[in-house]
Amino acid sequence: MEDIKNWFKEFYIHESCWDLDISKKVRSFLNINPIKVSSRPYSNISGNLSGQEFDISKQRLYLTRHEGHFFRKCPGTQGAACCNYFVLNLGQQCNMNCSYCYLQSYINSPLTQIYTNIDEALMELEGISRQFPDAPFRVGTGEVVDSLSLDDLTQTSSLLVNWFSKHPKLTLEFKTKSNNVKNFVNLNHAGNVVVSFSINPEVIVNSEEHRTASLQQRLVAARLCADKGFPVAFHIDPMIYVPDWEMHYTSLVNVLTSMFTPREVKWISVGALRFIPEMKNILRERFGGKTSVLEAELFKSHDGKLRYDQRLRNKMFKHVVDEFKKADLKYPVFLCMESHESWLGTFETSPRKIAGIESFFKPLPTVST
Amino acid sequence: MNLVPINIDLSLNFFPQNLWPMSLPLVCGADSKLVLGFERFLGLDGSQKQMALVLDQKAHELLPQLYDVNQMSGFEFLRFNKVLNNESDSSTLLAWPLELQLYCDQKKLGLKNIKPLTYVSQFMPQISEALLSLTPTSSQLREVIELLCDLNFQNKYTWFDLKPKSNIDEWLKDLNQKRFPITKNADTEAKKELSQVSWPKGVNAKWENKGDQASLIIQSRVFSNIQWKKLRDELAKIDLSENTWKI
Ligand code: SF4
Repeated sequence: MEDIKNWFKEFYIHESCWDLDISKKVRSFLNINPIKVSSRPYSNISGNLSGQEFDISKQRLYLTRHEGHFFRKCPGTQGAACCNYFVLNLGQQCNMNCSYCYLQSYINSPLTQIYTNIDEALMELEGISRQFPDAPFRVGTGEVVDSLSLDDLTQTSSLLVNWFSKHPKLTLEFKTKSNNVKNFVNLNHAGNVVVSFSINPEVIVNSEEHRTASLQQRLVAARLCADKGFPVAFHIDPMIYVPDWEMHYTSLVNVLTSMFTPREVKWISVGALRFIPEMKNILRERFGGKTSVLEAELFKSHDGKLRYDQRLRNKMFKHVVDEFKKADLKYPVFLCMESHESWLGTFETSPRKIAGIESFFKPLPTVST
Repeated sequence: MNLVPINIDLSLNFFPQNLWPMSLPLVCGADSKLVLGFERFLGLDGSQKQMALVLDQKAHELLPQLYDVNQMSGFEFLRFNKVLNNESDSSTLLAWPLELQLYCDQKKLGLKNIKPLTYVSQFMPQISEALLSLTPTSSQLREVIELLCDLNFQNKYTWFDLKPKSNIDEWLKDLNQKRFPITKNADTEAKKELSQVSWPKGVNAKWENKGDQASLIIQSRVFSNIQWKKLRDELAKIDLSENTWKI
């Protein structure tokens, strides 16, 4: 993780947010003077950003209000088993730089945005929790922005941990490739904030997950969270087929199981490389010749995304699942964004029948968003 | 707006795909630059006087009103922007021979389909020659361009390895084998395995790949219950190894 203080090259704050606490925090943290603007400094691009525009957007920060709902159901993927996940968007774009990042085909905004009206997000959540007092919703903040990598700027994590401590029926997931847990790890909590780390073998972290924390740093941060009573989770996602992949993923599982008992781990989700075909051109422009993602044997899948052949996916998933089973049968492993064929090929059953993770897949009430 | 004999300036010729009807006169801007009817000057330089309808606006202002960029093919769009001096980083793609550009336009290749050519420009003459001589269909053309780009990024192939050995189908097969060796080799093994099975008479068994799914398709027509029982019993005797579905 490189120093975030000097990361941004341009910094804008909407005038309506200028005096908010969050803006003051960000202003005092960054080594760059902000520009006060009365409207959005750059408009969205029609179509996709070019590679260059995407790179620039990572270093151009804009603090603004979020208009509309914060809270929405995870779109999941067509034909995949759905794990009842809700997304709370606190911003858009990421300061890290993974070659396979789906934001490359998703974002058409030439800015990194951080939303300043998090109080409204929490009010929205409050309303939903009152409407469905018994529904065990899981909420994640890491869909279009890493949950924690920009936390030094905003310190949103502490706000959320405090709020969720008063709402023990709900679960919050911080999802990150950083190791930035210091702003919340010492707070009192209700045991309902899961800190999840996306992990991959070090060789893949080095070649594909640029500007992220190393595997070791992520695991140490996860250990610290577990020691402070936070449930931790892991996403071994996206698995990438590289030379000696079996050995690399075996050692990943070995190091993880040597550091965490099954009881300490809330879940381990496993997924394989996937992205929409339209992302290939920006990937070529940004990483051509320097990534194994462009060499991956991917084919169009049922939902239009490119994926490894089903047989190869089954083999990769089975390998990881078997390695966990070797260590302890109780590790709660499940497949993310995967077809029922993958579930059958890996577990020989469907997600709702697997002890430990079945509750993720039970239908919950529908929230209008 | 007058129909007058003038020396026509062809500098805005971006080789549009849509032809201007022969029954209508050539159309120029107030600056004598032609805006409609470029195709009538194939091989000519416009130095001889021609009858043309001369409009009041300048050609640069007229072009965007006369042509719909949303309907343009990829190269056509780049050439259009270039004659209008619109900012775009198209120089690498527009360095490809015009003949190939027009072939791609004719096959309706969009910008995203031709973008991969940016990364194989070191093989520009060879690829152009191969594509123009093998005359692939639109989908074959897209596939070849994608495959060549992906393979070239792997930095292990020369043109000698990549060049077509015979027709377009064989070329695609060869490039796909190089691009997807694990999957293709598994398919070959599966097919070999299946070819050694003695399937009951009238049963058609084939290995099929559809996107990311490979499967065995077994087809047979059954006309009676007796026939069904016989087929069922015969199929029950067939033992396919696990390896058939492995990779
Ligand atoms: S950490 Fe996540 S959001 Fe950030 S670049 Fe990597 S994949 Fe994208």
